[in-house]
Amino acid sequence: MRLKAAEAGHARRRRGQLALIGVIVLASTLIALLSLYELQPRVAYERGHLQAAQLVHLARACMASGGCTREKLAQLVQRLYQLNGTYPLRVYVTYVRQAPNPGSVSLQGGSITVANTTVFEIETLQTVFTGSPEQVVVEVWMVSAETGRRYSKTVGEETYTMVEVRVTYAHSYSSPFFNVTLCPALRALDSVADLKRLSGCEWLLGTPLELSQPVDVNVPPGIGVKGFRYELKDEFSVPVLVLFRR
Amino acid sequence: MRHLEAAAIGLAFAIAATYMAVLSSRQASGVHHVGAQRALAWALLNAQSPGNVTKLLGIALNGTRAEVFVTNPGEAIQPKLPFCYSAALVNATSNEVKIVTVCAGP
Repeated sequence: MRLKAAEAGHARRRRGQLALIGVIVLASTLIALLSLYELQPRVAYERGHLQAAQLVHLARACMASGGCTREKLAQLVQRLYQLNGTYPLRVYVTYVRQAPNPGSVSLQGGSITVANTTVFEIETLQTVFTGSPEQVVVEVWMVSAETGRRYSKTVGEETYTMVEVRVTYAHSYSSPFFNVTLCPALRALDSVADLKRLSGCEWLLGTPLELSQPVDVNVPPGIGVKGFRYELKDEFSVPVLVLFRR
Repeated sequence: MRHLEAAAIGLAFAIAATYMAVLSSRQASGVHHVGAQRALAWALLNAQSPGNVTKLLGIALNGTRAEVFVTNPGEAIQPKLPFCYSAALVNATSNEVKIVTVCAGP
């Protein structure tokens, strides 16, 4: 009896040991398989900020070339589509709704405001649900007002009558992905004008009257204003038209 | 003996559970290269010429794993990193175009 009980105990011990060996083999196999498993990440390409910034860049380039019409801007958008076939630009379907030229001129008090606005319409993911495209708007605006101060400046052998004009110049970009206002740096095209940044978008400009062009500015509602225009450029090479009155 | 068998079964469960936990934690999640794309967008907004755009891009990408290419249209790029975004820098006066491409990845 005692012998049979001992034999039964041995058998159970052997089964347990076999079970343990099986577990060890299973664990080793699973760890070996895990080490062979290669992970493939799921990738999402973000689209939005870059594509809107691309259109802002395009609008500025068009303005820098002078005379940026709707047709010229549409040609540049077509160029983007062509490049999109080769490079990962990931452009949206884009329409040119408004070109910066001609801009608008308005008179308020003693200040003259010149605004050039570019509007692109893009078909984003939201368009799929709403049916309406979203907009990327590039606005370039300049407010100029004479301070009333005039002074003389001698450059070389020439003496110029300098008219002091206070200028506010800014770029405003809005899109579904960002709203940005920049105060680009201005530079004169000759060595005569005096240019001083007061703060942010505010500048004090000494304009040589002899190098300024007389113009007739048509201001709504049909008022003609005699004045002068003097051209600067900003850091993006966009022409900046400073208008001031006599 | 029964205790040993129970221990073996428990160990099997523990190993299987550990395996599942490890496998789940190592599942790849979605990869977004937001940094590279946004860096290029920021550079585009704040500069216009290819030189200035790439300079700003270098500043924004400083310390990150990314590569930048400036090419003419039609030139192929051979990035080592897999996820790329491009922008076209247009000079509308001369009709010259440069392509700036930033690539990022693990």
